[in-house]
Amino acid sequence: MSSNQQVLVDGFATALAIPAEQVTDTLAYNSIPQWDSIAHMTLVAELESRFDVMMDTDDIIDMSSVAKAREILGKYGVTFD
Amino acid sequence: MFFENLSSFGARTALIDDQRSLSYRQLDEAVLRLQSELPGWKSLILIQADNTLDTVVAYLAALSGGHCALLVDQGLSAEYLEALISLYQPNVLIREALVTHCHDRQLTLAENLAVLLSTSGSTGSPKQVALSFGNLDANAASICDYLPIRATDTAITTLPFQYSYGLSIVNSHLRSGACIVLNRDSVISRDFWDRFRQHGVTSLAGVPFTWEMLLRLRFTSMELPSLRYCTQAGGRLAADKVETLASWAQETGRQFFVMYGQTEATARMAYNDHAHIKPGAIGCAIPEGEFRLCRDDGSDIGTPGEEGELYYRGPNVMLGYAESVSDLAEFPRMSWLSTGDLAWFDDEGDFHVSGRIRRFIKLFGQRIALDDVEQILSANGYRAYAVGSDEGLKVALVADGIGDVSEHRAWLANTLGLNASVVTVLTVADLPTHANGKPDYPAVERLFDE
Repeated sequence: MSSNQQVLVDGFATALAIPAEQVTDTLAYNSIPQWDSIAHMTLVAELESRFDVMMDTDDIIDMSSVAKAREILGKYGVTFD
Repeated sequence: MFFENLSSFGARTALIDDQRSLSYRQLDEAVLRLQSELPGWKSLILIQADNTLDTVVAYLAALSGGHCALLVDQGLSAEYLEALISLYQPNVLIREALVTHCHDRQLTLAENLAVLLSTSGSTGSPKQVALSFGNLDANAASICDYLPIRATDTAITTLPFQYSYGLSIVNSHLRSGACIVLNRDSVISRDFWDRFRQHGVTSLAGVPFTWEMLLRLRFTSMELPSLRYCTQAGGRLAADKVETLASWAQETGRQFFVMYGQTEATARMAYNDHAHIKPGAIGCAIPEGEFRLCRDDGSDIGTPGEEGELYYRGPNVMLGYAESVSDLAEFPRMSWLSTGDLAWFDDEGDFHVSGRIRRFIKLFGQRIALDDVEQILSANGYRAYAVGSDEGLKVALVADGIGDVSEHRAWLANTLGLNASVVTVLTVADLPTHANGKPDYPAVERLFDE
């Protein structure tokens, strides 16, 4: 697992207060009670600070799954290989 | 009454959801149809409310039939719902389009009793604020007086229907013949903004948390040509954030209103329409309302800058509280409403809230009584003290080695229906108490600083 992937998983686990094993690519917004609109803002703040980026409105709104988060972070130059 | 002239707005659009749209005439017809299914005498109608067309119709049918509507969050747990039903014995239950008749016993209900609203949100306390028809009408009238609502406006729901601020937006727009987009999604969702743009929404309302989310979404850089004004209530938004939003509004030819109220005053007591100059103020009392500041000994404060407890008087002050159906028969006359807030006024007569007397916090606009939280914990075998601020709930508990902190936290957040991010739990060996055995809350607060 690449280190950025590790950071991403940690970021999700911390922001949503869930175990890291639960952070899979298919984990989606509103699919678990822990990832609601409130946690979403915590998550955005967490990822922004961990990857030192500042996301646009559309990206915050579109960040609806773990896979999507990776894709969006990619636009800001964060690489996951 | 604001709900009596619906048909006079004719073909204007009243309500829009994702499937349907109703003109005022159609809304009036739908209300009359449902009203004919309700008892012919004053009854208690429990509505499991959500921001849906059916909820609005049910609410209006109850009001126009002269009934009393007990509005309950549709997401309330079955356990709390059962408890409410057994305490209040509603004649009819309505959930969306489903009408269930429970019993035909005539309850003794005060003639002017219109709505029962919970103040405690998710703690499931059965205590209700009883509002009269006059209260609802006074609130809708005062809102229409100081907010620039026009018949051509379109609002979008951003708050729970059964929450007094949310309800007040519905009432004031129906009174004005304006349109309401019934939305159930958060402001951070794509669907919300699609609806916003599709229907050309002209005003936006939010509690502090909503505005914090919107600021994080870079709200002030969004292209929203239809938006004319915004309102904020339901707790205190940090002055720097108010300043950002109020200045943005000023620069873009919009208005940003900071408002102050509580359910006991049918949502509204004061508004500040010059938040770009005074972001920390709640402003002046609404039309027909009046503030008074009192010292501990009950004497009036007449000088600027001196802090005291804030009292309010006006036609929107509730009938009273209720804990069960027997409290609904009659209400003692209330004069001044004690807000529980500490405040002062400045040289220009603008009021500023500086603190709180009673032990409650406001999370996401909803009031959470810390004593209720302790009761829930105690009922579940915890010895615990709850403290906190509008930033979050903090609980110190004695776990006797059972479970770990994250489990207790997850359980409590789930029980209270709160996101775990605003709940902090600390396990302690002993709870801090004063010599007389009463909780030492400042010491509890300090535990979280260590």
